[in-house]
Amino acid sequence: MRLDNLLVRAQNLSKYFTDSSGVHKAVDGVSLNIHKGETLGVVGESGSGKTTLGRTIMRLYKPEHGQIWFDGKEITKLNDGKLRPYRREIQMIFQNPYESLSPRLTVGEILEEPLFIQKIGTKKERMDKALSMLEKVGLSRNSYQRKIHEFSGGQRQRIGIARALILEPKFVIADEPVSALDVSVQAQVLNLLKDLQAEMNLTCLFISHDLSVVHYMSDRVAVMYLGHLIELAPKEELYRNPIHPYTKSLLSSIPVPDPERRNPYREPIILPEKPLYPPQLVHVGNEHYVSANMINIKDFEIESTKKQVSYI
Amino acid sequence: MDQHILQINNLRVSFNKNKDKITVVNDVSLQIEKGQTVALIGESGSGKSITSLSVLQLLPSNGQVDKGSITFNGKELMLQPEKEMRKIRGNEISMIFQDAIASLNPGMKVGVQITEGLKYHNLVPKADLKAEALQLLEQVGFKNPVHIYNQYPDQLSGGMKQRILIAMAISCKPKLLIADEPTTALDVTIQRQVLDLIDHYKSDLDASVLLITHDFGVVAEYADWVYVMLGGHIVESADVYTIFKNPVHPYTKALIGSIPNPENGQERLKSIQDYTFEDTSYDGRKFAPETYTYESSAFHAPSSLVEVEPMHYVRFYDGERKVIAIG
Repeated sequence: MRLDNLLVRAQNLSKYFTDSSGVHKAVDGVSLNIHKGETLGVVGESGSGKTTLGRTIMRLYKPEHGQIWFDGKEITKLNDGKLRPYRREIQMIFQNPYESLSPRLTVGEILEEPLFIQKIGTKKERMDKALSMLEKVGLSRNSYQRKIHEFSGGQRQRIGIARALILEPKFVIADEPVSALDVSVQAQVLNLLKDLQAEMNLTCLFISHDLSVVHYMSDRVAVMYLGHLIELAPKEELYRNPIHPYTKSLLSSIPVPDPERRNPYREPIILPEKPLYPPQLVHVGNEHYVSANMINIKDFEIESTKKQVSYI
Repeated sequence: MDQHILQINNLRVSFNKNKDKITVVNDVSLQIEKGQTVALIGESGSGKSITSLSVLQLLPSNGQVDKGSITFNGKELMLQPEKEMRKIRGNEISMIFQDAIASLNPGMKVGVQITEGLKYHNLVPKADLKAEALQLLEQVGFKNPVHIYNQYPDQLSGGMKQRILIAMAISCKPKLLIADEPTTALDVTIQRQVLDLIDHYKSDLDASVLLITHDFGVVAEYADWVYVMLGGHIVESADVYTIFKNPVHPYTKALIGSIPNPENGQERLKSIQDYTFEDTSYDGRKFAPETYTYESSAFHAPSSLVEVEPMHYVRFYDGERKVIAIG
C-alpha cells in the first residue's frame, strides 16, 4: 500500500460525548486510510458511530484521541481559522436536505454562500458557477430563484449535492444521502453521485445503513459496530466472505429482491457484546481486515478451506 | 369467494382542499385471502396509506370515500356506524404505523399502553392485564419483559418501540394486520426481526397481513400477492413470483430495477426516467398512465385493468388499440 496515494489517514481516532449519565464512546480507536479517487463505504446500525466518524474526520468535532492527516498534512489540532482552507477541500452531503438547507434563502444564495465565504470570484462569476452547478445536478436554470420548499425530496438532495460540490472539493463525506428518499428517486440520486464523482475525480466516504446501496457506491467497505471498526475489505471480498459474526448477520438480513430465493434458514442475528477496548484489526489476506479479539484466527483458517460461504 | 377476508371494490377517496376536490385513490380494488400477506407497493403520494386508512375509516377530516365498498369477513364496513367500527378497530383489524415515536403515548408506561386495546374490548379481566402484557412483550422478543413493562417510550430504541407497536397491534389477536411501512426507519437487522415477527404471527394464527411498503426487497421476502400503486391507481397486480419474473408495466419494472442488488454488480441503476420511453405498449395496448407526471391529461383518460396472463393484471387505456412501433 503506497502512502503517497492516500488522501485521508485516520489513526486511532476516538470521539467521546459526555452527558449526565457518563461518557459515551461514540467512536473508539478507529484507524483507516482512504486512497485518492476511491469510495470507502461505512455501514453500521444507528448508534454505531458512523456519522460521528464522518464528522470527526471532517473536523466538525475535535477528537479525544488520535490523529487525522489530510493530503499529507495533519489537521487534528488546527483551530477554526487554520481549518478554513481545508473546509474548501472537504465537504459534506447531509441526510436530510430540508434541515440542512436554509428555507429562507433562494437556491442561488445557498449555492453561492460557500463561494462567498471562501472569497472566490466576483458576483457575476459566482452566479455563473451556481447556474452551471445546477445544470450539472440536473436541475433547470430557473431553480436559481426558487426556495427549498418548492422542490421535491429528490430535487432537494440534488441541491444539497450541488452545494457540497460547488467548491470543487477533493473529498466528500456523504452521510446517508439517500435514506430519506423513495427507491426510485434514490436510484437517480445514486447515479448522479456516481457520475459527478467520476467527472470531478472525487474521493468519497459514503455512510449508510443500507448494505445494498453501499455495495453499489463503494470500492471498499468498513463495518462499524458500537463505535468500533470491526471489519474492512474490498467490497466483493466483504460481501462474498464476511468473517465477523456481526457482518454476517448484517449481510444475511438484506432482503433479496427475488422471491424464488427466500431462505427460511438464514444466519441467525448475532449481536456480540461491546469489548472493553477497541479491537485490533488483523489482515487475513485479500486486503481483508477483521477485528482480532472477535475471531480465532486459527479456526478461521481451517474453516475457510473447508467451505466457500457466499452471502450474496 | 368467501375465503376473502378483506375485499375492496372500486374505492375512490378524495380530499377537499381550498374548495377543490382532489382524488387521491381512484378505482382501487383489492382482496386479501385468509392467511395471505398482500403487499401494496408504490412511491410516497401514490395513495397506499390512504387506501389502508379508509379500511379502518380513519381518514383525515377533509377526506372522504366517494365510491366503492369495503367488505371485511362479509361485513360491509362502509355502512357500519362509528360505534360498530370501534369494535372492529384493534379487535379484528389492527394497524402498525410507520412512525413509532408519534404512535406511542410518551407519558404512559409501555406495558400499560399495550393492554389498552384489551381493556377497551373487555377481552381479559382487569386483574390479568399485566400478565397478558408481559406475555405479549415476551412474544415480540423482549428477554426481560418485567423491565420493559415499566419503561417509557423515550427510554427505548427505534426497533424496540416498533416491537411495542407490534405487541399492541396483536394484543387482541386480530384477523387482519395492516402494517404501514413498519420498517422504513429501521436498520436491516431490526427490519428482519420486525418482519419475521409479523410473519410468525400471521402463520401462527392464520391471520392475514396487508403490508404497505416502497421496498421491493421486502416484498420479495414476505409477500404472497403484490399490488403496485401509482398516482392513486393500481397499475399492476399478480402473485409475487409472477411479478418478479415477468413485470409488464414499465413502472413496476422501474421499481424493481431501481433496487441496488449486490449480486449482479450493475454499473448503473435503472431509474424511472430510463423507463419512461421504453415499452410504451404491450400487445398493442397503451399503458395507463404512460408518463409519470401527474399533470398529464392522458393520466385521466379512462383505463382499466386487463388480464395479460392468468391472474396477472395490468392497467391499460380503454378505447382503440393503437399499436406503437418500438425501436
